Amino acid sequence: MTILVLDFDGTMTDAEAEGRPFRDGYLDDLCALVGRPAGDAEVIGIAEEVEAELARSPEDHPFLWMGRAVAPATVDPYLRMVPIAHRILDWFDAMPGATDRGRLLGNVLYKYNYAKTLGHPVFRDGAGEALRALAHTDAWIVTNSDTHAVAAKVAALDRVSPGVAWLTSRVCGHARKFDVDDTWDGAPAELALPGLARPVLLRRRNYHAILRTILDGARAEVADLVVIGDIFELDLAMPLALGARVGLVASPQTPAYERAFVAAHPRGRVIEDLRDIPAFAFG
Amino acid sequence: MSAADKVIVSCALTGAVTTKKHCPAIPYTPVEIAEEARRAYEAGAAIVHIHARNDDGSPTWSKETFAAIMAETKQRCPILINWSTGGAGPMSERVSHLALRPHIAALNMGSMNYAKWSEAKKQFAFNFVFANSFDDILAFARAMKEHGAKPEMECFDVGHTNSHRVLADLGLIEAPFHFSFIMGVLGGIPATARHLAFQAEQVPAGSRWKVIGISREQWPLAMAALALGGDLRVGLEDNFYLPSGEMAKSNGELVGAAAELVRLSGRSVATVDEVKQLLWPTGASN
Repeated sequence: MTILVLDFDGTMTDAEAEGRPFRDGYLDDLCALVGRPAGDAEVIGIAEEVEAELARSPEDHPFLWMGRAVAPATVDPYLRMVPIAHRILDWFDAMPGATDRGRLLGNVLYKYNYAKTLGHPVFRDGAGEALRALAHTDAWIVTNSDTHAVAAKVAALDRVSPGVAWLTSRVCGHARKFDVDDTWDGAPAELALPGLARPVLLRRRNYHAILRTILDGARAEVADLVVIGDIFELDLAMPLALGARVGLVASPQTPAYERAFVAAHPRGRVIEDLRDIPAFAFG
Repeated sequence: MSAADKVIVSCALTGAVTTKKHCPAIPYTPVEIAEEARRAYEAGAAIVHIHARNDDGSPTWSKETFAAIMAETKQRCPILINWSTGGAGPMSERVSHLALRPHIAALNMGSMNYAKWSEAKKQFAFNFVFANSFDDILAFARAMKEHGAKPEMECFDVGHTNSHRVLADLGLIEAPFHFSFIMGVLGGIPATARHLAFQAEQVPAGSRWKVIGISREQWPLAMAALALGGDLRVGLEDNFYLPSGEMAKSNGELVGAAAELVRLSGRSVATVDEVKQLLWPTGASN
């Protein structure tokens, strides 16, 4: 018996292409806020400089949640914009107050520009073929995103690559994979990854509860579970630690330490082509 | 209700300069202006800022026209009315409509060069001195007090904002003071988040302030204002374009876009009744 759990955004979608309207719109708004025309070379230069820094040393730029590092901030174009925006506002000495700036960046600019990406999903090459080949298997999508938003993306994929609509009813959203709960001891506390100075935190209770519900529904155990995602720390580390097999869908933004760890693990596989997922999971 | 969580959305319906050739939705007649006021109200605006026009679109200070606008607007919705007093014409003309007792009246708070520079042509598109002496400011403020209209102090630069102290000292304005920061006019303060934050620092605690961004810079400035705790003004007088870049088909569309920004910010749009409590906590509004 095999139960397959797939992440969706960034795993089945091309997060870089899909996030382009977000990045461009966000930078245009920042240009306006610092008194520069849209596409201003100095502002764009700062953004590119920060992006290059993040790419060079993803291990030094974690995504912080509740004050703790819970994932690399470099894989996701949405998370990358946070340090970029801070650097730009710092450079132009704009909105120095932490509270005001936090509201501007997180509440308004983030949500306003994220909305520009909705309704325009961009899928990775092979996404339709991979999901279509999973028909009649016990496959689920578990995502941090909104359930209906991801179901809508699956439906959109079905329109261009028919045969995947069956997955729209198998989406579990709001998984909050970034939530770490130290009071829960259903998983080891942490995992050490060579090349990463900080530990990977594993006690992601909410995510585990969703996986457990899926497994219980099939009367399966963690050893029957295969999880596919694009961020090891967020999607895969806890299931792997509990005994699942995991597939890391790689991209140019994948941190080298994540790629190396998964490639070396006997229950891990780095997936370069989505069409390899069915064989990895069920082959 | 937390006053800081509420956002007063104002809408400047028509202005005095642009025409239907620039934007077909710009209203001219009292009925057209009142219809736009209704659309703005239905989309979430609590205040409409109004200039009067003749039927051909030219500006007028005719008290009769203002009276017709007020009557038509009141028939359609309970939105709060803010009369313009700024621009061309002798002061006697520019205060006569205050006798109609609007809730609010705009009060320009200082003089400045007022211009638009064309980098392509290396010349001014327009260029004049926007003269508002202290004598004039005080006269307008006295007329507003006489007719019960709360001054909306329009500040194009930091010195204008600071000048409110004279009005307060003379008892011509009552707390909570009501400021508008107009950003992006050449000759005035630049339209940046840094300068908006600096303007916001100048106002006394408990005051209400809003940003008036000109042209497409309106939307990013609105986002900054929401983060800084300010209110918003949108409307065809200031900007024709929605955040998407499309030209608005009505003031209601612009107000709707502003209300969506408010929602994204985690704050909420103040109703007319809530605005009355925020601006006139003692209940002394027209």
